[in-house]
Amino acid sequence: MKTEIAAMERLVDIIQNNEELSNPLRNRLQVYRDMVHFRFVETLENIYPILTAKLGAALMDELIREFIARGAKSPYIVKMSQEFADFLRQSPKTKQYLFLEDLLWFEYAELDLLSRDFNDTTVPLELNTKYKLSSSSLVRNLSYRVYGGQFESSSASSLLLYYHFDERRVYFEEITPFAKQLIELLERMTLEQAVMVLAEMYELDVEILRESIVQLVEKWCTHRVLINYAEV
Amino acid sequence: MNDIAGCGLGLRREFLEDFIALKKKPDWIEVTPENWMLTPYRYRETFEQIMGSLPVVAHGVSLSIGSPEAVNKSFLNDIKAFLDRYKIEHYSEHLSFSTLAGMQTYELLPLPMTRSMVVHIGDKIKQVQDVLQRPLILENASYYLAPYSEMHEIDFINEIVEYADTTLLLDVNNVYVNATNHGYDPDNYITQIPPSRVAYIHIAGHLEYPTEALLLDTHGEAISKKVWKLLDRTLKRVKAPVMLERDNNIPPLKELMNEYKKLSKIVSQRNKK
Repeated sequence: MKTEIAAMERLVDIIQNNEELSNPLRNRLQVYRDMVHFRFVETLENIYPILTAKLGAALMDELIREFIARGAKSPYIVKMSQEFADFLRQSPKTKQYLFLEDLLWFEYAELDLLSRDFNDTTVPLELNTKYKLSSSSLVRNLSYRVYGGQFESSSASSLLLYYHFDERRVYFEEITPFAKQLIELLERMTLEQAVMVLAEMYELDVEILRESIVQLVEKWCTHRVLINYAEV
Repeated sequence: MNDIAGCGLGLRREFLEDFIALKKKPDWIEVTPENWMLTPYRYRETFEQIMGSLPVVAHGVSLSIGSPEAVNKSFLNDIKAFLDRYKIEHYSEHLSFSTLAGMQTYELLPLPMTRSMVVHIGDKIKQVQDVLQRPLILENASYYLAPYSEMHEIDFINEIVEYADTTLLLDVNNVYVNATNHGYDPDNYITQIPPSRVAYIHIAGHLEYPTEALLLDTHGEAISKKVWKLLDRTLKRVKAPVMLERDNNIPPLKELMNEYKKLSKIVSQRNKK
């Protein structure tokens, strides 16, 4: 098998790299090179359309070619995009794009939620219950408001993404630091206890605060953003 | 493949909802496990409804049976779990490689056609079958060059099928594309395949590059007249179920079903004779 393996290695080497092809099989080798290149480009540009626009087609193409030359390991092509993200994080050619980390997360998060299977059910709102984010939801602090097209200046925000079960698509909404804090508290204490803690922390009227928090948590429960802590 | 007869259609996410609404469905369907293994919630209900209602064949794309390295058992276990979950007995894959030294190209690359490779692939097929607990049906893949060869393609395929005692997924479009690109007679090729070894047949479209005298197996076009005719001649010799394959440039289901009806007519006419 030595000869066979050497022939296969040479073929893959030619496909992965961009050396000038001069032999009589140039066209046929180029077909394979183009096919592999197109497969990577199609997958990555579909997953990262905003990133592609921000980097520009030429740089994106250059980075994809470098990534192909380095090689991908995942047998599942969609998961290859996470290897590409790691590659971009290491590349000196992307160092100037300070929004990169946030944008990579934001663009993949939608696909991630759309690709998941969910078993969580809708839970009722109860004041004496602890809640946790469901498998159909993600929360993340961002340094750049990439979802709002702000790439030049940093501005901290928190983003909630969740799968909408009726509309079968992913919604995202910016949440306040207060709402983010509430989600974190609900993992450690009941809703009623969280109301009391926040009322004291922000010096707010308990009754008024409870009313607005209940409204918010009720919405999250309806959309299966939150589930009972014990279910996780 | 006693439970698979007539004509099949490749199930694609692009027309999943329309497929449910079809009054007259295909006789059977083919699914690519890698596309459905981690079935997203938004497709699960519809997918499972379809899977429970029709005979199914699984057609993989990532096995890389020709790679020098051993079979990826973790990947195979994922495939087996999928086949078991949906009670799929028939699993086919391409005679090609896509992985080398653990690196993926996500394309079906051509194999050196040698006797050592026949033994290597034959042994790997047996390993795959041991894990999956099912026969592996092997598809003749399209190829644009052979990296190193000491055999004709037809001998290479026949010897592997014989050595591994398995069956063939005969892709008639691939025969036509390869015959045109490599200058052999497609009918002569098909005549050399033992009919009893053909589990089922694929038919698909290709793209023609006249200036480069090259056909590309794109699965993204309507089936060409010459491939329809080759299928008709093939069915005179080989009695096997036929599947319409469309992976790219997917048209509305109504349009695809028109092609399916044409296929169905050819197959039923041949079965009557």
